[in-house]
Parts: sequence; C-alpha cells; structure tokens
Amino acid sequence: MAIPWLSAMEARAATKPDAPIRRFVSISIGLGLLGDNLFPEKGGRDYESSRYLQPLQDLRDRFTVASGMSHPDVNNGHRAEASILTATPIGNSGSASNTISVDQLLAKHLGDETRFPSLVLSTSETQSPSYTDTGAMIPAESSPANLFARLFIDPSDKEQLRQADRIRSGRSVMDLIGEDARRLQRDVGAADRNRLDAYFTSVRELEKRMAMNERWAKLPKPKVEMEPPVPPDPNDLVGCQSMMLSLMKLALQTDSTRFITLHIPAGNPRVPIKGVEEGYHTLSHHGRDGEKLDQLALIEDEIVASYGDFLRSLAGFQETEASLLDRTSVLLTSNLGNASSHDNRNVPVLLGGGGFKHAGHLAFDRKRNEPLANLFVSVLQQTGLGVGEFSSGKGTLRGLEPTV
Amino acid sequence: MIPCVDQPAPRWIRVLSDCRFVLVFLTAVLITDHAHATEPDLESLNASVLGDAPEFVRENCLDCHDGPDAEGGFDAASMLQASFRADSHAMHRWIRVFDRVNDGEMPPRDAGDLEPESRERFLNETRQAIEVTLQADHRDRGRVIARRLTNDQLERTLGGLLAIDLPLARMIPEETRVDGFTNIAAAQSMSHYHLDDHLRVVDHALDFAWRKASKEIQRSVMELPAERIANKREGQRNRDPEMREGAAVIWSSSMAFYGRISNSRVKRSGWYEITLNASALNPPESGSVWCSLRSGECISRAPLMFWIDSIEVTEQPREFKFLTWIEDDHLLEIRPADNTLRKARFRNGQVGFGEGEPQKVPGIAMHSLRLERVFPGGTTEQVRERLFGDLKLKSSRKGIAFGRNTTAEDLKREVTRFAAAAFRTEPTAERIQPYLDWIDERFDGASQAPDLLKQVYRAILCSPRFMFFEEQPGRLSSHAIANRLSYCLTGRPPDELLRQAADAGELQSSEAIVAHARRLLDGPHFDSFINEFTDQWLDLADIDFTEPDRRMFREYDLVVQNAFLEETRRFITTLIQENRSARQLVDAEFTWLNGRLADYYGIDSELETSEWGKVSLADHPHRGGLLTHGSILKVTANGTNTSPVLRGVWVCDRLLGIPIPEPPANVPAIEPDIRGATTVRQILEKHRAQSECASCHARIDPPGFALEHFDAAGRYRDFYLTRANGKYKNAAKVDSAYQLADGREFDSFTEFRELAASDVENVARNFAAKLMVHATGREITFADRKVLDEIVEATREKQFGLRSLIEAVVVSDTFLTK
Repeated sequence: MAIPWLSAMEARAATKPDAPIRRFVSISIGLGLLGDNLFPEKGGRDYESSRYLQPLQDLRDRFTVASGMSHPDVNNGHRAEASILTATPIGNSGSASNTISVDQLLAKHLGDETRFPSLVLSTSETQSPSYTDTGAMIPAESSPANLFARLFIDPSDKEQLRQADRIRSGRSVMDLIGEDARRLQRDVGAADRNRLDAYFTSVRELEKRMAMNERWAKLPKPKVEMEPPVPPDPNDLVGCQSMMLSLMKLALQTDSTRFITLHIPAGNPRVPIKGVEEGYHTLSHHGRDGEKLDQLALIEDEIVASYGDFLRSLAGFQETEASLLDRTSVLLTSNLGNASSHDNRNVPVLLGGGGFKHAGHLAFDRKRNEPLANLFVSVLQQTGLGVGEFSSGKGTLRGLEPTV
Repeated sequence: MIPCVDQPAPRWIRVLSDCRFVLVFLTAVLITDHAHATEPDLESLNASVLGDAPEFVRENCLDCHDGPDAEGGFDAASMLQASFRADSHAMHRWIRVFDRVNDGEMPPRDAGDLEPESRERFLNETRQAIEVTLQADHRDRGRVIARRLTNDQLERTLGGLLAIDLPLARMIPEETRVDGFTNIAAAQSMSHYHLDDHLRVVDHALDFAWRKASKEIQRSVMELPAERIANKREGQRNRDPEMREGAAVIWSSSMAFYGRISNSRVKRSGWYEITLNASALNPPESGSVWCSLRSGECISRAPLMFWIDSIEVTEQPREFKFLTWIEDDHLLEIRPADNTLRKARFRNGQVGFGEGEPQKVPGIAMHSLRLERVFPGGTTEQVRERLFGDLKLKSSRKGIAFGRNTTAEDLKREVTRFAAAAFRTEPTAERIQPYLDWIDERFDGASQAPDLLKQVYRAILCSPRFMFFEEQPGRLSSHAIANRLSYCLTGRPPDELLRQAADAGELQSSEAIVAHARRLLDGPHFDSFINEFTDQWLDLADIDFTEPDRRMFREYDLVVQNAFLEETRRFITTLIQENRSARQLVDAEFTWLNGRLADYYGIDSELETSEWGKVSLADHPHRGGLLTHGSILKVTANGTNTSPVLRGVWVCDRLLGIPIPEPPANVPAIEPDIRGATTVRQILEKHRAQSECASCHARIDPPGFALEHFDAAGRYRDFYLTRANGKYKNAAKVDSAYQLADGREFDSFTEFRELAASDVENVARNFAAKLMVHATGREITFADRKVLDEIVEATREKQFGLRSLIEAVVVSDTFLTK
C-alpha cells in the first residue's frame, strides 16, 4: 500500500519555525478491552458513561471515545498487532510486508529536533507496533530503568569515552561493510540486489544515528526530580504501564522526544489485583464465562484508569499558552475488538488531547466499520504533517475537528 | 523443465519460449507494440499464457463472482483484467481458482453439469501456465531471496567461528514466525535497529572470545555440602532449605521460590555442570518424588525462572548431573514439583525451621551439590587458535599482545583465514580485498595490531556475506549446497568434512549429498535439528504461551509440561533414526514416557527411576501418534478450553497436509461460549449452514471434533467440565462422531485417526513440505508441488520413511536451486 509522498521540504513547510511543538503518543493493548464495558450506549457529547470511562469523567471534554472502528482487511487476530499503527494487512503467507507506522512517519519528518527521534516502549518484551519505512519492526524498550538511564543519566567520563570509541570505530566499520556490500551487489541476482539495498539503507541510517548520537553525547541530558525507578514485579502489568507513562511524561516535558509508542503485549502474567486469579491472556479467552469476565474487567478497569491519570498529568504541565495535553495527541487502541474470538473489528479507540474539539462518543457502524487510519490522518495533520492520506485512511475522521 | 534459449532475452519472452506458446506469443507481441495497458492487450496477453482458461472462468465463474460484492468476496472479473505474469496477486488468485476447481468444489454442483473434458482442459492449461511462469521467475530471480541467518543460526555460527558458546540469540528481538517458521526470507526485514542489535551481539561475542583468549575467564568450582545447601537456623523463617538428619530439606508446597538455595548464587553468567546428590522423604506409594531444578533471581520482582530439568528422587540417594546456562547473580531452586503430591501449608509467605516436619508431606533431602563452570564451546587454546591462528602471542598484563615482529602481512593471513570461515564460501581474493586494504591503510605496528585485528573481525561479522546466505540464481554451487544442507540438518555452518567436500566441488552428485546428510543426521548436532525443527513445524516453541487453568487441570505442572516436549522430540527422533513410516506421525503404537508423564496419561509402565523409556501403547488405544501428544494438544488450545476450529486448522496444516484457504474477510470468528447453553458443535452447525463457510469447514471440523476428546492440558476426556459453586464438574458428553470431507464417517477419535493415517501419501508429502520450508526459507510454491509429488513417490518403496523423505528432499530440484 502506498505511503503518501512527502518531501522533506514540505514537511518543514508544514511546521513553521515558531509553531508550537506538537506531539503524538500511542498506547496499544495486545488483548483489547471488553467492548461492553468500554463503549457507551449513546453517541454524542452527552453519552452516559460506561464502566471503564467512569474514572475519566472529569476529563470528558478532553478526550473522544470512538466505537465501530477498525482497519479494513486487517485480520489474523494477534498477528494484526503489526498493523495497529500501519493499517497495512499482514497476510498469512509471509510474503506481505509492512509499511511505516504513523509514529515513525512523524519521527522521520519531524523527529530531528530532539535527542530521540522517537521512543518505542513496551511493558514487557520487545514486540512493538512501530515499523520503519523498510517494513521492519522496531524492538521496544521494556525496562523503565534502562529508559530512565537513556533519558536522564549522563554516563560516567570513562563510559562516555568507551561509548565515543565504540561509535567512532562503529562508524568506520560501517564504511568498510558498505564497501563490501557494494562489491557483493555486483555478484548477486536482481532479487537479492533489492535485499542488499535494504541492508545499505540500514548501514547508512545506523551511520547517521551514530553521528547524531556523537553530537548529542556532548550535550548534557536534562535533569529531572525523580529517582531512577525500581521496576515493579513484571506480573504487575498496570504498575509497569503506570511507571512507563510517568517516564513518558518526563520525556515529553523535557522535549527529549515528541513521538512515543507504548505497547502492552498479549502476555499471560498473573496480574496482582485482588480478585484476579488467572493469567491475563487466559482470561481474555473468557468464552463468556462470568467469572473470567469479572476478573478481566478488574485488570482493564485499571488499564483505562491509568490512561486517564496520564492525560491528567499532561494537563497539569503548562507550556506557553497551552498545557502539554493540548499539544499531545494521546491514542489508546488495540488490534483486537474481541480477544476471545480473535476478532479484529470494533477495536477500542480513545483519543485524548492534541488540540481537537473532542466529540464525546463517536459511534460508527459496528457492522461496517470506519477506517481507523482516518483518525491517523487527523492526528498527522494536527501534529504538523500536511498529508491527505495514510494507508487505508483516505481523509480525516468524520466528526473530529481540530480546535484551530 | 523449459528448454533454454541460447540468446539472452527478456524474461517474459523466455517464458513463452515453451513451444506450446510460440504462436500466440507472436500475436501478443504485435499487439503490445502498438498499445500499452489497454484491456484487450492484457486479455490477449493473458490468453497467450493461459489459452482458453480465461474463457472457462468467464463461462463458469462470473455468474456469481463478478464485481466487488461477488460471492465469498472473490471477484473473478478483476482477476481476468489483471496481468497474469506481471501481477503476483493475480497469479495467487488463479492458483486459488485452480485449487477450487481441482478439488471439485467449484463450480458448485447446483450450478449445472460441467463437461469433464472442459474441466480437464482448464486444469491442464492453468497448471501449465502457472508452472511455466513461476519456473521462469525462479530461474531468473531465484525461488527464494537472500535469506539472513536466524537468531539461533547466528548464535551457533558465531559460536563455531570463535569456539565459544553463549546464549546470543536472547540478545536480539524475537523473529516473526510465519506458519511456525522463523527463517522465511520474505518476512525478514532489515533496519538500522536490526543492524545495531547485530553489531551488539558481534561485539559481545568478540569481547568474550578475547577475554577467554587472554585467560581472564576461567573455570570455577563451588562445592556445597548439605550444611551449606541449608540456610536456616532454628527459629529462622525463610524460603531456603533446613538441616534435618544430615541433609538439606525442602517439603512439597506451592509457595513461590521455596527451595531457593542462597549459597548457590553464581557470580558470572556461564555454563555450569551441576552435580546433585539427593533422596526422597515421605514418598507417596510410588516410592519416589518428582522435583524440579530451576535457576533465577528467586525474588518476586523477578519471577522469571529458567527451567533446567526434572528429577525423580527415591529413598535411596542418587546422583544427578545437569549442564545448564546460569545468569550472573542467579541461584538454584530445587523443590518437589509434582502437583499430585500432598502439600504443606505455611504462614506469612515464609517457612520456619521444623514447620514442615509434622505435616508429613513428601520432600527432597539434598546431600551435596556441586557447580562447576565449564566451557562447552571450546578450550582457551581453541579460542586462541580461531582468533589468532599462527600469530605469536606474548604475555601482557593488558589482555592480548602480539610478538614484536608481527607485520601487516601476518594480520592479513589471519584475516583471510577468518573471512573464509565466516563467509562460508570460496575465499576468493575479490571477496576479502576491502578487509586486506583496510589493514594496509591502518597498520601501525605490533602494539596496536590486536585492536586492529578485532576491528576487522568486527566488520567481517557485520558484512552481508556473513549475515546472509550467498546464493546465485540457478543451480546452487557446492558451497551453497553445503550451507543449505548443514543449516537445515544441524542448524550451524558446515563442518570440516563438508567444507572440504564443497571446496573440492564434490557436492554436485546426489550420492555425495545423501552421504553427507546421513553423516550429519548421525552426528552430534542431530538434537539441534530436532529441537529447532519441532519448535517451528509443531509450534513446540509455544509450549508456555498459556498456563492451563489451575482449577480445571489440578494435575498439570511444569514437570509434565517439560515432559510433553521431551516426549515429542524423542518420538520424532525415533521415527527418523529408525526410518519409520510417515504414517506413524499420525498413528503409532509406541511413545516415549517418563514416570511422571506415564502417570499423567494414566499409562501403566515399568520405567526406570528418573529415566525415559519407549513404551508400547498396545493397551492404550487413545494414545499414540502426534495428535495424542500432550505437547500438541496444549499448543493447539488456549489454556482453558479447546476450539475444534483452531485445532482442526492446525492439524490440517501441520500434519495432514490438507490445504485450508484463508477465511473470507467478512466472516466473524465463532466466539467460544463455555456457559453450556450452546455447544461449540451447535455453533459450528449454524456456521456451516452458510454456504461460504461450508466448504472449508467440511475439512477443518473433522479433526477438530475428533480431538475434542482431549482437553487443553492434553488429558483424555469423555465429558466437558462445567463450573458450579466454585467447583468443576462433568457436564456435556464429548461427541466426536463426524465425517470427513469426502463423506467417510467416523464414530470416535480412534476411528478418525485410522482414517487420517491411511492417507499416508499426504502426511508424507506434508512432512517433506515442512522440511523444505525449513531448508530453503520459503513457503511451498505452486511450482514445488510437482517436486513434492516426486519426493513422495521416491520414498514409496521405503513406506515413506522419514529418513528417506529427508534424503529425498535434500537432493530435490527445489533444494538444489536458489
């Protein structure tokens, strides 16, 4: 599927030098949320709150909940995690390849200003919904301690020297293997030449990243009033989520990055919440069993509440003329609308902040879903990329208007 | 095969050089010269390849399959309008049409009678068109694009090159698995993130080898007598063992980390040989207690534990040995781990000295424990030889130093040697020139030489020649064959003998290839092959993806789970080693068990304590064949309930070789409902009533229903469980009677298995297909179908023995061509 063509020039033109900083955060849940507990019955601004949205009612005018959305032609259950932010169907055959994700498109064009063009995070393991323009998944960072160190701790002088050394010699290694790859390219068949091109691109990109890191390494990292985090029990999914979210807030606030994804994978931890006895993934296959549904809801209550806390914390940080929340679109979504049957339609969608006139509950057709990528187009435009299309999104989302 | 043309010609012309097409081809050229890409052109171009097949589709399919709202979401009209040769998507759809017509599903019977001649003609024309086009494409571009070493292959390749053994694959993000396989070239993407990870792994391996070579890393031994295994004074409460009658004791209990041995904490990550002397306390009637050995930090904020092994201890003390990797700062946990044992209860999350004794539960008594750090990858001398060859080393306080007279030429000699091994191909001057030039440019005396050498090695190990399989379109070179063969059957680069054979160009004869294949299968790395292949083909890698519901499956535990894996691996090993028929994949009269698994399955056996044995299943008709292995039953369920659809699809795809097309996009998955009001069977009846679902489910459901006799934890059942008042009770009776797609009926699981096994050609073909994917890094294409048929025929005489099938695969055209 084609990605809208966009030159660097246009991208720059889209962000005027004095334009306010715009940001995008995506939180994706590998197992979705129980639709009955999430979606309000009534559409519009005066919807009656659902169970999960209860703790977010003080933020009613600062987020939109949308039902009846999904990516067209994206199926395959868990495998659709790859499509959450790319909207590209990944076939079973393995020959289909992925395209760039919405966060990486932003990072590619607008990410040069910060130490980290983007951050790709998860609450455990390395699965992420972020894909490069060569269709490769970007492995996620799941350790809050590592993330904190990357963001805020300057390495010791000795470590700095070692790193600088590694980068310098790494750059010359890149030169050498680049030369070797060029020779190899003459020997191989046409199909493999494309393959080597992707290798080349990676060599050049890595070289560029190393050069950038060399420059940033000379600048001290921002200081924050927070002790290096002690990671919670890895089973404590919501604790991990909250800890990552508070680090993400600091990363945005210090302008260390402007584009972040956080993935909550479809793992099977036994979440330490009173009343929860079985693994998260096991519970997601509830088979309509009342007891399992109850336990699952206890976990999901907290996932949504933690999202609400994040919006509140962003709203509490004031930049010139607006709060951090007004400048940050915070998406919460999933590849699954019903994890019990691996159904990829009617996925949960919450969009907070970002300078939109929030619309309450946008209720789309549960049978003929609205393309989720339309929402991506709205977000891309609002964040400073003047694109008209993204993947299966052929325009902005109906019913969601920007404030300016 | 297609006759070759002497003159180089554009690919599409060569496609048409098959004499059958020459006439139409001329017409096509005339038309294309004048007008591009208008409809009539494409149509006649397609007709030039497909003959009358498009006409057949127009007459027989368009009534229902026309336009975006076509039945089953299949628009045949748009297929006719796409270029058959240029558009791989169109080709894909033609294959789908071919398959549906071929198996008689389309056109539907109620659409009127189809003349057999017209059907035959369509099938022949379409088959030939697809084959010719694909073969030409495979010949020019190769069937598979350059494939990268998988994470596991990278680990073993670096290990072999440097004579080290490190769990490097863990340092790289897991690969996407396509239908189980991690090595599918088309699914391997490349980004600077990946390259950065790769560089990190290479650095880690090189640093380790360098330190090993400089003798910084040494063997170490930890001896723990019972008094040191125990770590609990009278009056103290913790989760460590306590002393009792001269032994360190842990009682049966469900408390997390009870059994941690604080004094076994290791300072350095590495391989350890563990020797444990232990006996049983208060064993149950069987006389023995099953225990587990694991390593980990053993604290609640790091609950991840690494499985080492299970042991069966008896009242008579016995010695056990294990070889395992342990991370630094991790310690051992040794405890009774049999969920059927009675368990002691303790207060407040700790176990006080003497609190277990009066509860009279089973326990383990440990008499001595020894941990020795070992280096299975190679000795220090071997590492030095791999890194430095003939270079003279001198002792130095700062790591590695070379003799004062070391020259650039010396380094270049070693780099040439190292690169030849790393690139796994002919070490031509052209291939290594940039690396030699680099040394000439930078050589600055002997004192800097070690650093320079390391830098060049670093680059060599990041080169695409190292990371990718180098294969040229057409018939593979001897080196490329050696690589395919070795990575397929051992998961690592060719050994010395194979490399010599490749250097001598000996691998162009089938006899030579088969001889090496046999040698490798009998060699020391056969287990790697079994583990890697079954992890992917049979999804054994997913064994701990879900945790069976503890209330439903009280007898299930980690000892059982790991025994599941071992059973299947040993079973496949036997089938291959003894060249048993592919039929036994489905229906076998034996399996491999240890005492714990035999109990779990309810099979009486006389097994040696703690040992595995091959057990006859003559008296246990419900077991036998992969379908009845706990491993398979577990990975095809979700931990709680079973879905006939998911299991059915899995069995068709992985075992029986019954193709199941992708479900139509607009049909919802059935939502399992275990409340008892409706059975899965009833829901599926409804589902099948929809015509677009019926044809696939006629194939999916039979194995799915037959396997309903096995629950999500692999036990045989006659009743489903239902939950009432907090307890599980028997509810509906399992009904496995059904019929195959071709109408043959079965009354029970065993009858189904009998029918499935009788189709041995398909099972054999499927096994060969999976091995082909594993060996080549690409899923089976239409052009491979003929090759697979030939492979199956070639092994008929040997009753489709698995070993014969492997040998036939590695000398097939598909295997020997890029």
